Amino acid sequence: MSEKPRAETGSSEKSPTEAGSGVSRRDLLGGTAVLGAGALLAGAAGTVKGAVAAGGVTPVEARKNWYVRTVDRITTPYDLTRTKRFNEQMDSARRLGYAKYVGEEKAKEVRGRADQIRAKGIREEIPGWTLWDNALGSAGAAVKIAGADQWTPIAAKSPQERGFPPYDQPPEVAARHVKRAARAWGAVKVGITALRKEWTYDVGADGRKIAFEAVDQPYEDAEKRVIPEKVKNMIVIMMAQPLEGVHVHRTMIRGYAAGVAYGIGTWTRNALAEFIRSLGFVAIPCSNNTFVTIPHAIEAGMGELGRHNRMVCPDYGMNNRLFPIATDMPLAHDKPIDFGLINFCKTCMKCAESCPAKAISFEREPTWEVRGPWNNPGHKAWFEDAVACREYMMTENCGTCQSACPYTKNKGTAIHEIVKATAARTPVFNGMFARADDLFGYGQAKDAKEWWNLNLPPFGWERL
Amino acid sequence: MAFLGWTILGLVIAAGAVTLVSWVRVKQHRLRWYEVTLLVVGTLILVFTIEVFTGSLAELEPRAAVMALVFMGLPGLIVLGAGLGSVYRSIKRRGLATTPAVPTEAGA
Repeated sequence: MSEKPRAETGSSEKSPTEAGSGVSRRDLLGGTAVLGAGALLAGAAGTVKGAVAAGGVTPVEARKNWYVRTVDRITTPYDLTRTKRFNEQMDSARRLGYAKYVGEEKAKEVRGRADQIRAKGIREEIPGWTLWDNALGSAGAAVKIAGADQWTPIAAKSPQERGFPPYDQPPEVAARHVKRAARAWGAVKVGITALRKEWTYDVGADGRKIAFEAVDQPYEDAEKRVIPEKVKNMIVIMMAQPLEGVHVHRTMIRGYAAGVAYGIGTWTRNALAEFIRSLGFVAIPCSNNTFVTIPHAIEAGMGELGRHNRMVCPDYGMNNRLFPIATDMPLAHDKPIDFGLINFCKTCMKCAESCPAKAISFEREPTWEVRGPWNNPGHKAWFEDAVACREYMMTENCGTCQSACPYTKNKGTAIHEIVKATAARTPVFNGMFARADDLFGYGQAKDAKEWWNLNLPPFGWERL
Repeated sequence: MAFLGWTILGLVIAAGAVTLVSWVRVKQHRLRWYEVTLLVVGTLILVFTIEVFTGSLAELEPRAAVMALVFMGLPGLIVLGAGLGSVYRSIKRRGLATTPAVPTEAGA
């Protein structure tokens, strides 16, 4: 049986021999269109990604991340009737409180061991503790900013003092002004909420009482520091530490990472305070000596409370340092956020597993029961053994938990956002994500010697 | 990866797609829906693998970069290979079906 000639079948398609190996006009135009579209899309994607990777595009408010939900109440249950105003000097695991909990002899031994570790590191050139590592880690400690953290204006004059009408923008506009100014002066994230007296220390780090009085301006004397009653708002700014320094666990380079964040944070919060005072309002910038900043930050939508009983920010994970500025400036408040952290922390345990002091709780569920008098009750959390943590912090600049947290990530690849966004929507994959974080090598201690060969941007990571 | 790298990658993918479509047309084969799905999904996985690989290196996380090649790149290659293999097998099968049978002495 013979086949009919192809032409008689009515097929419009040419036979391979008739088509030859050439490209038809239609193919050429179609191919060019596809190539052009492909190049355009790829170029556009590359441009967007390049812009993001260049930094400065991370939103100033954590809730602006696309996978973060705004909620009416913070995800950590709390009961202010159970919270007491804390004595920072004597009851925290820092400062005099540490000696109170472990005894003078042990406190002296720990301080002595810290000196010995540094001396040994210099003599034996132990990576992370060499002479140059020690110099890096202690470089910022002596640098003081004139007028830092004073509660009255350094040089700012109010509009009225300069003969101008007072600043009278609506709270929403004022909040935007404050946040943009904070970002312009170096803040990585900013949040605004109400000042809670329960989250204000009763006695500050210097042993003086912190009181609220019906006065116009803050003042201090030998016995107390006074906050005017009219100061009702709390601005919290967040700095991130240089991530490559954070990942060099328990070394002087890790100490540098904390130091640079605290140093820039000091400058930024005092600049913001002067900005607010120049608008005619009271601004009280502080470090860790006046307010319990973390619950304010969480109320201000900057993160959620993690397993280590500190804040985890969706962008920067545990790599965050918080600084409060209390003010009477009328400001719109931010709402808290939910990005699925509580459920993630129930499964993950990476910070607890990596903690050399075993200070972080291994319980699956948070609890209302505190672990010791260094904890302030009144919220449901995984309370930590802050005294055990403090020993490693003092001797070895420990911040291992911050490095280990799966949320502490750089911004080089989109997979981190995909993981965080998935965890924000469902807890089903949380265990897999936590174990994959280990498998992919995240949070492991990096080579301290190699740090000195890295070509890092100014301030080590985030650009000022 | 820089802007230029992504553009070149886009050109390579588009050129590969045009080549495949042209070849399939010459072979008079119509791509089936599952072949298109395998090809597209495999390509997307490989593109994402490249993104994670280059991004992890930029983040100074070399182990994460290698793990991405293993746990994402290999599956991507498998899926893409399955799509291409399916197309190739379909064309090969059609070629055998349309080729006239060799006449035997009894069947002439």
